[in-house]
Amino acid sequence: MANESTQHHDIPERDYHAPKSNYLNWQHTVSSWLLTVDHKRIGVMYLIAISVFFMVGGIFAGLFRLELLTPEGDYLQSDTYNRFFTLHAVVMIFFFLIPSVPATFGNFFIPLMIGAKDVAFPKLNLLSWYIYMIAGVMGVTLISLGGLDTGWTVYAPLSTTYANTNVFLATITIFVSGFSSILTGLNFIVTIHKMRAPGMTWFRLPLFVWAHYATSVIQVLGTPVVAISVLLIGIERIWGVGIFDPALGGDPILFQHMFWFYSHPAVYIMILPGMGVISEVIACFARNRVFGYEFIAFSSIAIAIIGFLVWGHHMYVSGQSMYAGFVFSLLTMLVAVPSAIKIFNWTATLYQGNVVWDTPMLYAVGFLGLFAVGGGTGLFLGVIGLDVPLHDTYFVVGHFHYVMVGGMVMAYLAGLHFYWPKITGKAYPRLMANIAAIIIFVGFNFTFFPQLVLGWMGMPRRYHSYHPDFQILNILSTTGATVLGIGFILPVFYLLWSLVYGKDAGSNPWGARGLEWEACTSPPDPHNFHEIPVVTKECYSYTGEETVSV
Amino acid sequence: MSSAVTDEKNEFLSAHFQNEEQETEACTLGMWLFLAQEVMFFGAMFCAYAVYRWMYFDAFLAGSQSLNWVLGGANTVFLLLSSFTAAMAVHSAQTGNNRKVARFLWATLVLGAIFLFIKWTYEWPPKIQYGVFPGMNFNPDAHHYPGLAAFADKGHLQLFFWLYFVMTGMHALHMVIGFGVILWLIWMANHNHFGPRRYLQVEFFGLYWHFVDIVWVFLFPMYYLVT
Amino acid sequence: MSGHSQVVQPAVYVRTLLMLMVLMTATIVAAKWHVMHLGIVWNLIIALAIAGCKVYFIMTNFMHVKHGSPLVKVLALIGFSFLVIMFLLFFNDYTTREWHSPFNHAANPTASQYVPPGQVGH
Repeated sequence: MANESTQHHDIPERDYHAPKSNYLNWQHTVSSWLLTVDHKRIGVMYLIAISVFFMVGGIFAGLFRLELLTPEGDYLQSDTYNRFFTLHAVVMIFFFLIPSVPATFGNFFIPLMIGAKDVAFPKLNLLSWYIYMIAGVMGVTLISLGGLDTGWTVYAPLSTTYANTNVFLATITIFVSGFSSILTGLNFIVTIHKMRAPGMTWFRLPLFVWAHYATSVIQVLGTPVVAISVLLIGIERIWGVGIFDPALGGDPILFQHMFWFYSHPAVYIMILPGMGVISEVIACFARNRVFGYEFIAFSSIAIAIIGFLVWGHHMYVSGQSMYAGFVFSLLTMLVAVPSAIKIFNWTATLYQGNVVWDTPMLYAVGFLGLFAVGGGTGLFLGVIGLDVPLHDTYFVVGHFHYVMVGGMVMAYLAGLHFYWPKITGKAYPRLMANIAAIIIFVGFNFTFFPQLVLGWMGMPRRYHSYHPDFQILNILSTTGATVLGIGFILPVFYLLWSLVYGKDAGSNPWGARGLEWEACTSPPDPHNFHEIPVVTKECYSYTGEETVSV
Repeated sequence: MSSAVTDEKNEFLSAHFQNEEQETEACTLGMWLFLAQEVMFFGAMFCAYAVYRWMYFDAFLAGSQSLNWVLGGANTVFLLLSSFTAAMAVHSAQTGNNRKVARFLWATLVLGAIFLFIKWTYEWPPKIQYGVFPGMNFNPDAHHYPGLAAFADKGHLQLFFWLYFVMTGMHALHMVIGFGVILWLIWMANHNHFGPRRYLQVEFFGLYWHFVDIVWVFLFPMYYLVT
Repeated sequence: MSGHSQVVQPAVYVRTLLMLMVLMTATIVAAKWHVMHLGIVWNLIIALAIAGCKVYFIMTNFMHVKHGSPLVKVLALIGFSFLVIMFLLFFNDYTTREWHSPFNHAANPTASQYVPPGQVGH
């Protein structure tokens, strides 16, 4: 990471004032927000809701990291500890990671990027926000009623027979939040197919849009499967016996199959939109067309499809047939290829480019390194022979946090800092933002690298107490988590500060290409464009003329 | 699903679409995506069914033989007929005959109601009454269900009936939702809403109803006709 | 999708309905009157094939896929395609569970006594 990140570059310093009327200020009433069908306002409402849930999930993580400072159980006993890590996972996965980029930046920017006035079904878009909020309220109720202690995977028969918490409410919460996800995905697919501006061909679409298209395919085809799986768990819970009940000869592994049929592709729901953001940021700050545009575009689609074939790698030690394990292991190797293609192409874009260091770019480069570690450790776990000893150790925890936090949260923050001037029209303090980016990067590695080592040494996950030999690395991890927490709190302050005191950012503060920057004001007009733009150039034409002639 | 259908033909939407063709195509695409996710929703249950049928074929055979295939077959006829009347309602909407739209929709509603009446009177209640509902009280009555009472492997039999009740229950739930849409469409037809360029709501209801029919086309042989 | 879809004539719907009735009769006859003694596998295949034909007629004629755009045709098939994937990978597990395996002591008495770790905490 370059520390001299504040160096100036060719950002055009125009004498710019925000437009008098924009989507934020043209109507002021509360109902103009709560009943809006404007994709931009819905995106902002999602942004607020998601930030709250991120904080809730983070607090749970902080609390059990504190417990893990010492080998013995101090203030959390196993029962409470189980609830905390479960709630951390449920909140982070269903209420932060899955909707994070698609529901906020996807909602806000897909119509802008393709030159549309709105998404295809604006009311459905608002409905999906309300469904998300209803699920959120149910989630908060769940927490206040004592939470859930089964792990987010709600495996039968633990969840159906043995757990003493509100499993039924939890399954219904997941069921409801799934519909929000389906509606968003459905809306995006139709929008991308049918709402593109004249001249916006498929291969002129920004890679952000391609990534969201692939994500939406998974959301539409995968989510119903997890919905029915958790519903069956809920039904089984109410009646005491049911479809996965081993007492009846039911097969609990069948639940794992149905659960992971969605929940493995779901990790691509979480990471693909982040990859879309990274493509935008790297192209902009390398001042270069993304190297191998078509490869990145098709690798997103390939990840979406192959991602449906690999779920069994979560179940190597579950009692699944070893031969099925072989097949899943081979297919897992296959799904790593498109992700690697993306990493190589982004690196090549940097290599050929004229790199400019600014906050979003710091996050994007952080993403490249951390996601490479996360993906590489994923290959370890995809190999059946190595997964057997590493399964259910902290190595797994380290691996998926490198992908989800090091990958997705970094990408989310890259997107937040990249798009903030467009969403709010305000510039945030660069120096503070760069410091926060570096703190997050350092804190992240101190938190999760020790966990990889701990897992390699054999420390099992999901226990509140552990062997004293593991203590030093756990202290390191908890210290890192504290640093990481500070890093996450900083943006809340300076971004909110910028809303009041920030200077007007200008319509295109980064000198970026694309309709959202070149044909829109900051903040955008309520109807996005005064006239529907006509696209005449490929995207990312950083070395050529502007993309658009309005 | 009704929101996907209801979303067109109001002031705001015509504003954000460029033209009628774009709107029609977008809504059609949205409806088909909705059906694709419905296929996955029911399909996951069919996969669970397939696994257990493969594992415990004897129990599934015994369970299936206790179901009344004549009632199931009659219900298939009613549902196929209702699909036909739904298709005719679409045709009437396309040709702008609102009276016929309403009539065909009423016919669809009545045929669907007969289906559910048979299910809710002659199929589910006797099973619940005579101990064939899975759970703590699963104890098939020897008089009414001799085949089930004689079958030793009660656990796997319960698996069959769990799947039977959940899948036919989900199917019935989809039909009830469809009834709501039918009543709304009849109200619109009575207000002369439909015409050659304004029939998408009926078309989408038709797609939904045919999908419900397709689910039954698989449910019928998989539950009533195991041999 | 060429804007509004073509108006399908009632005669087509009537023919489709008759065809569906014939197929429904066929599926009952095949299952209940034991016309063909082919064993449980073939009976299942026949039942699924007849159901597949019914779905084909419902989708092409009632649901107008015949006159739909290529995109509609893809969407009509994509759900079923992913179900096939799901089905195949499920049975990839269930059909091979009893095979010879170092962990399967019943099938292989000389198997090593190695027990995979990590089962405890699930």
